[in-house]
Amino acid sequence: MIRFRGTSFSYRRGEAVIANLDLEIGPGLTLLLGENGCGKSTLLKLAAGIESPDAGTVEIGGHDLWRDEVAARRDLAYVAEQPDLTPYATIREILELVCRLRGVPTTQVQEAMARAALPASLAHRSVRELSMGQRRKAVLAAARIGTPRYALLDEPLEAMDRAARADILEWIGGLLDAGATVVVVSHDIEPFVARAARALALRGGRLASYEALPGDLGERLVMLDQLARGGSASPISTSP
Amino acid sequence: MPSRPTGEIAALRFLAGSGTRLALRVMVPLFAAAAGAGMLLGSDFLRSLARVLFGEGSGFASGVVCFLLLLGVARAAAPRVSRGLDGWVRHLPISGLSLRRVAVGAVMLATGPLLLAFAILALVAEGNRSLTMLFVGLLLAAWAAALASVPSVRGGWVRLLAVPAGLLAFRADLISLIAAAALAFLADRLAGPLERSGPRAPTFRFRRLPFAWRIAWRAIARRLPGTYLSGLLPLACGWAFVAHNPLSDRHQALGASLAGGLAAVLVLAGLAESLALLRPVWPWARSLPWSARDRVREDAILLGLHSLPMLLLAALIAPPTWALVAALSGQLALLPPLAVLAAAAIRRTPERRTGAAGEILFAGSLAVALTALVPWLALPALLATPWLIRRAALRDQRQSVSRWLEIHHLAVGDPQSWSA
Repeated sequence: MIRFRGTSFSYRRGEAVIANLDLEIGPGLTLLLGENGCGKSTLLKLAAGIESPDAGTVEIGGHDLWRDEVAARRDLAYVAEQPDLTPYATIREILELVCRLRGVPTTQVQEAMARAALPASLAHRSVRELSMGQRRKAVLAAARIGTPRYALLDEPLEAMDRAARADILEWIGGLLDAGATVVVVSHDIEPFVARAARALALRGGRLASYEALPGDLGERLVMLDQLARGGSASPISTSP
Repeated sequence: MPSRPTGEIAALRFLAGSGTRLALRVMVPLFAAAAGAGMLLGSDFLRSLARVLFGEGSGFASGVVCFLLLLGVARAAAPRVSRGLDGWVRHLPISGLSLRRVAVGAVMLATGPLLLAFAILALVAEGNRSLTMLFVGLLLAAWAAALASVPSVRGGWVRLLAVPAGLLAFRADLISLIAAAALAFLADRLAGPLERSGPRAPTFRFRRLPFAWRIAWRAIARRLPGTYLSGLLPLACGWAFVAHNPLSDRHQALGASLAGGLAAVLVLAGLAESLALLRPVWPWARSLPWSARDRVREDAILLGLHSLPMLLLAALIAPPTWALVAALSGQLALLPPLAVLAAAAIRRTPERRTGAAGEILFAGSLAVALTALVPWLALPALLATPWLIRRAALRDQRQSVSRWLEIHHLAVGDPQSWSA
């Protein structure tokens, strides 16, 4: 369970991106929708422990992200929209670090690279030398190390070739089958419609939670499309 | 599941292989130059240096010099070690506090060669000082320098405690060492996790200035005070030389001219290096109607204007005579070609191990010395300025902007790296 309690965050004083948010995200696929700049990536960063909230708390699996930092992050995989890996380390070094921190043998590096369709020849390159697609694959390779129970994916299909897209969707499907909590921010909603368990829509700093999505896939797509465009449907709950 | 120390060891291994390795690579020319100078100056000089720094009765000033050197190395290493640790890495199972402590450890590793040099000098120094105390002091000083250099949430307080800790550590007596350890420990407890760098806000907003100057200023403004301080050093030496020796007008003018010229060269070198590091090529901007010659000219004018105060200050060193006017006119005439050379050096930094500063320091010091001796030699250099601009523009055009070379590069300001 990912839990926000009275969480507020702003980049500039007086301009709240997230205001007093109370939210619980359970297992299954949650789509986080909204227009550009509405705060979707910021919410994901708060959940991933990249940004710390100005007020309130964020918990992952019952552990506070900022009081119990290691335990909260142990089963967490985060794919950022902008893959901000240090350019001074090679891809192998970064993946080895992830292995060691997640308590996984470093032999998984090659496997993770292969699963992310990253050629082994890139292992000794800096992220700075890779194309956008390759950078994202490197971050996805890191996310696939170990067995994450919480996956926070910001535009996971962006800049991916068709084979990689299919592979990522299969990986997400595997995580969901294993009972993981997966939160996806994506403007490309069609590939996720079938597995979506709930939707969160951000609009003007307010978050609406839609727990019961229509069973009919066509209707579901129409509803999610509306939410993604900044429109509204009948929410189950709304943050103040 | 990794236990906490395992996570910290993993992070230290990672940083040692990336940031520390790079920091050591960047400092190779400096260490090589120091080793070369040591060999040239001979064993007698090294012995007396060792005695001054670590021998019986070595003063507080020796400790200040040693700690400043350590701090310089740590500050050069810190951005390379800590860059990127506040982004994606934060979602991994290691606490922010541990990451900051690991970064401090990695910076300490980068000070290793200098610590080794100090340890050798301490061994060579004759006297009754306890070597154990000296070595413990060195380690404490390295810890303090690293603490003061790694950006943390309470950086101001940490520096306030770490700097005295480092200075005390070089006194190497029991009470000072205990006090230094206590201060460093307190600084570490106070520091908290790494400071988030975040996007750098454009604080310098003078819209009437050329766009290139505003960008350059935003990149280098924080380094200006340090650069000017380095420029004041030859001016102070020049003033001391002129004030304390019975010299003719010509020789006083020569001293002032040389000091002013060297100060200008130091400022040019420092600013060019900062620009090369903090304002890397902006590839997309090359698609705009903005010529390479314009880019070079804008950089050269900016650099030249920033170096000009050094020459004006040099005029205060010696009494106002015609000899001084002639000598400083030569240095003034030399400034435009030197500024263009500096602008050109920025555009060839990735190919040079010594960075932009190395090229300017070498060519600039030579030109300044010759001009001090024969002022009219600056005239042909001044006349060659348009040709130098053309050469620099060619360099600008031939830069391989998409090529990634980690050396002489800080991710901050790099438009193609999101670790800034």
